[in-house]
Amino acid sequence: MPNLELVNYIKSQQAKGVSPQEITDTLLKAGWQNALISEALNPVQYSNTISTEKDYPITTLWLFKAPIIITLISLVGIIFGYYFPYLLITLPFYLIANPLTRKNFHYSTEDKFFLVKQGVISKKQRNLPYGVIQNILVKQDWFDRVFGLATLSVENASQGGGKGLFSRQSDKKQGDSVGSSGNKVNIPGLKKADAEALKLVILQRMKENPLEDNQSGL
Amino acid sequence: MSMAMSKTRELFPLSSKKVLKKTVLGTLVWAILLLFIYGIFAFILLSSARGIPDYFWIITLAIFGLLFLIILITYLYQQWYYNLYFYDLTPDYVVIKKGPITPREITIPYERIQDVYVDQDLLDRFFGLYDVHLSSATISSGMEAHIDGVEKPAADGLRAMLLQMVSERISKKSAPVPPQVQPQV
Repeated sequence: MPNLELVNYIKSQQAKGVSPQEITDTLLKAGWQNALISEALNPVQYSNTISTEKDYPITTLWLFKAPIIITLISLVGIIFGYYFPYLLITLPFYLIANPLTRKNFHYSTEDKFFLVKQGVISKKQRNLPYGVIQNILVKQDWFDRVFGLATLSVENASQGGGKGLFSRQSDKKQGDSVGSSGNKVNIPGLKKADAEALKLVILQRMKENPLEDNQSGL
Repeated sequence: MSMAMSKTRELFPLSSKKVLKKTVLGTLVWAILLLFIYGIFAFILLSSARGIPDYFWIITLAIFGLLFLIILITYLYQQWYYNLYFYDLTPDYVVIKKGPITPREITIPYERIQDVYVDQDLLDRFFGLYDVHLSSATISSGMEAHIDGVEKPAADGLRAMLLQMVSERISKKSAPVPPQVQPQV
């Protein structure tokens, strides 16, 4: 497996019409080993691997996240002499809906787009171009922290950067949502290490697909 | 306790006064509230003709003890927060990570930074601190992506470095730099 950064650099130079010999010279000057360069220069040897939800899956534990929290709240309530029947009513809903949601949620890092497919009854497919990704967030709430999970969210600037959705309540709801909603794609319940790895995969894709148009205000 | 150090943080360090500022900010409301309650209580007791009862001293002790405890806990938490405050200007992205208990990490590519600005609030003026904000086009980056509690030279340095990185990135003339050699794993 050749160094992805090297491959990316070579690709961008080749697109400008720089000869392989010149590229090799520049890289040798920068301190790269000859073997590594020739490996990266040979386009047959590597194929871009596409990561999907099979590589970095939503953990089984995530299915039980909401039920566990609800049960905990109810238990603490009972200890102090209160109980919340309406909370327990939602319990079977989560136990049925979560596995279905997870089963119907697919993502893959295609060459040009980050592809998200989701929806149990109404289906939704979203193609997020790598060039317009604004930022990537890795978050952990206290439940995630205890069990070593993390949520990855990828945001672009659609829907006013999330302005329409921005309020305390919808923000809380969004934190747990799966897949694309508003200006972001949320992937909750990943293992911490998986979230970091997927983040690196997407960052690398963003480097490979820069936006030619200059959109920054500075 | 381990510090979340990066090259950028070594170069432009967070001021240790940030802990003090955050402690003051976090406990100010509590202090005012408790002193207010204490004041009313003392006023009622002292204005009554029967003189000061014995339990007055116990209440005094309790209120100031509680206040001290709140300040201590806030201080320790803020010190922890300060130690784990991570920010790094890598060659391609800005990475900012904060929150000791529920961490949030944001990664922004330089091309996507829309705005860089430095500001001070009232307490920052007292302590001589500055907040460096950078944001992309999303709401959450406005909330997450700032480095607060640096002193003047560090704030200016950070701003200059950010602006330089951004303008290098978005100018079309510049040729891509060969990637840095990484140590073989």
